[in-house]
Amino acid sequence: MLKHLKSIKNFFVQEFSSLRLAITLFVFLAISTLIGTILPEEPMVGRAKLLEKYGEQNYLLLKGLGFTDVFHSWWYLALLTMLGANLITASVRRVFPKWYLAFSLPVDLRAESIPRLPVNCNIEVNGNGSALLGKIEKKLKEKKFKTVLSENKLKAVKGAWHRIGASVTHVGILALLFGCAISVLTGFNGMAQLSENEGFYLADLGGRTDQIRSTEVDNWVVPISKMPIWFGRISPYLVRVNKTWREEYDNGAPKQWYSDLSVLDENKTEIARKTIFVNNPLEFMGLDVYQSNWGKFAETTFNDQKISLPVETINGKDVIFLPLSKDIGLKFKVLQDLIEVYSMSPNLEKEKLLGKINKGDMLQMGPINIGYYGTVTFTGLQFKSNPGYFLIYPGLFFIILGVFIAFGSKKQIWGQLIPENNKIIIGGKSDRAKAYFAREFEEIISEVVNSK
Amino acid sequence: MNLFKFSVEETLFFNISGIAVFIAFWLYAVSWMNTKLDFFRKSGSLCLFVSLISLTVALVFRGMALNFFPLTNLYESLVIFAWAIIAAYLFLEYRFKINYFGWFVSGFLLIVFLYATWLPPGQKQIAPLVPALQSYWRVIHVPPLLMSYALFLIGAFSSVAYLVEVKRSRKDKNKSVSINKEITSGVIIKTSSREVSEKAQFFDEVTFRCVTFGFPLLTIGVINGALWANHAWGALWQWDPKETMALVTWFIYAIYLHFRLNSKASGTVLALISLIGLAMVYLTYLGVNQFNFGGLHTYGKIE
Repeated sequence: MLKHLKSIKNFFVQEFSSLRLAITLFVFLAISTLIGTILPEEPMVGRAKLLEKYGEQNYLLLKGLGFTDVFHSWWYLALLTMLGANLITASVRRVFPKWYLAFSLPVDLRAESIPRLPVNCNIEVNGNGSALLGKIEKKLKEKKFKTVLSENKLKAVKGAWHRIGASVTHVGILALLFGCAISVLTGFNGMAQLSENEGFYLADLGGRTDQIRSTEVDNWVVPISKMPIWFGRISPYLVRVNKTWREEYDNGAPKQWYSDLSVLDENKTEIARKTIFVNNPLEFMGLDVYQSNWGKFAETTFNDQKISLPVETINGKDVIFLPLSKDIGLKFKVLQDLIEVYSMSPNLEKEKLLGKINKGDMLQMGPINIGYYGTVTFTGLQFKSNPGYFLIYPGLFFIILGVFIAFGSKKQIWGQLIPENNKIIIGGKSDRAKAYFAREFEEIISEVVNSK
Repeated sequence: MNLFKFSVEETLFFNISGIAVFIAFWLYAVSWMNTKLDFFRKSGSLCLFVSLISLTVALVFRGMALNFFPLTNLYESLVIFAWAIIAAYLFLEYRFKINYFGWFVSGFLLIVFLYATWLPPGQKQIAPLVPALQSYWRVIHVPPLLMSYALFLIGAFSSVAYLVEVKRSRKDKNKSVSINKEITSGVIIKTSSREVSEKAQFFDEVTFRCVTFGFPLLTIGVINGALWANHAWGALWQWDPKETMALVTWFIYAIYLHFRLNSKASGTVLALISLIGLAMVYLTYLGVNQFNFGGLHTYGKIE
């Protein structure tokens, strides 16, 4: 029974560490990733669009097979898991044990094996054979080979350290996979929308997704969305927006959004402060806060009902569009302390001024009264805790390092003087650049032979 | 505004570059038909070098007009891609003597130049950057990728040459060849290879060289992209079509490299993988936007 188990285990280890499995998995992953790229994915385009495209029956069928969301389907995850298993077993069984090869000299070869090397030649010796072998050694040393010469036998190696590249890359990929798994399983993230002088606390609000007012003035409680395995630590910080503004290009297009943020501890003492903008987040004690969007809103009332309308900037002017039907609507020009109301319609050559509303005032237009109470700016912040980071960054670094180290080939040369036949047999091989090595070998031999 | 003045100079150098490629194309073509005309090949390389320099100057002018590294739309990306192809080819020609491909490479470059010229004005003009693109990451994310694409392209040319060579010399069924070369009297260097001919072995190795140069660059480009995305959008990876297509390309070249570890791997299969890889590069670089896969990388889209 135990023997049986062992053979099963051996079988799995054998199969899971094979190069063939790695290639097969790469092929399947490449094909399924391609499918996922070409087919529209539900998280990207939304369910409605897919229903429209496929019809309900086909949609349900495709959803069942995982084609509506390939990258989160069970089979894609299974492929990735298999690749992970393959990577671990292959690294432990095949890649890491070869580590020592990077620092060792070539193994001894018997004389009869040398003519079987991919590149080899015989050199007739007319004088002192050992001297000629010594000359070859000297030449190889000149070409930065590491050499050993003993009893008519010569061994040389160059570039063996490239062999650790594969180990380093595999360590990097493993670290990356583990780091991502930790982040995906145990982190949290969320969004907050604040105006100036407001702040937010993070909280686990169960199923709630909207931010709510906290008991303090001008502060919010913002829900987090948790990853599946949750270790339950939410930092008690208050993140405050001191100021938020935007920069524009001459044509009014947004150039950059800024938010000046402070992180306050429980006693309201500032422990960090930074002005963030897109591409420049605040990173503080495992919590990252990003600038994700920015908006200006006009506080208005329509028949005493409060509505915040988004302000757009067109040609440097702040305007609000309020479409009433496809081509008819209202346009508000937002000026200092007042807004002007215009009508929009395709039949009118010019927009028509309907009235002005001062800040804090109302305008009666037939049955509708419109009030204006000034503008507020909101900054859209995204936040995230990413516990896998301590593995992800080194992992990425090792992958890059590894592929660079692996670039290059290990070249080995064996030579032997055979006194009986008065000749030197010498040959060599390279693990990667074979034709290039053949040329290099030819160069070395002809330089030695022609100089004698 | 002196924007216009810069544009004129940029156009001038861009045109010089294009014309130099055109001349190089014919010089290479002539030397390809008759290998004895090495002078023509050398002049072709010189023309490509001139083209590289003037393209660099054109890019500098555009960069000055923009006030930052000119890599903001499809036109600029294509110009830098062309730059990368010329640079990669000249380097490989100098280092590994890949004289065979000058003709293909300059022919392909002409297509890139024409495509860049025919782009609608919306994709060509100097336009301000949206907030998400304003980052030094842009400069360390995109150029390594364009360089890797250029290398994969040359590798694919070599694969085609390999397949043609194998097809041509199919007559001898014995797959391995050994070449004996006498360097001085009495000293014969024996080289054995599993390829059908010395040329085939050479082509195979050029592809391999290109992939070993290109793969690290592709890896760096994708990883830098992930780090940038993390800074800008707060997530390393979002399964965006451009990201996943780049991942497919990465998988294909990973297959190539792992398949090569297998000592019995057939050169034909390797050449075919390299060609599939190039198709994936095309889909990653242009196809994602052309075939409207959607997603976040729509900056280079033709509206």
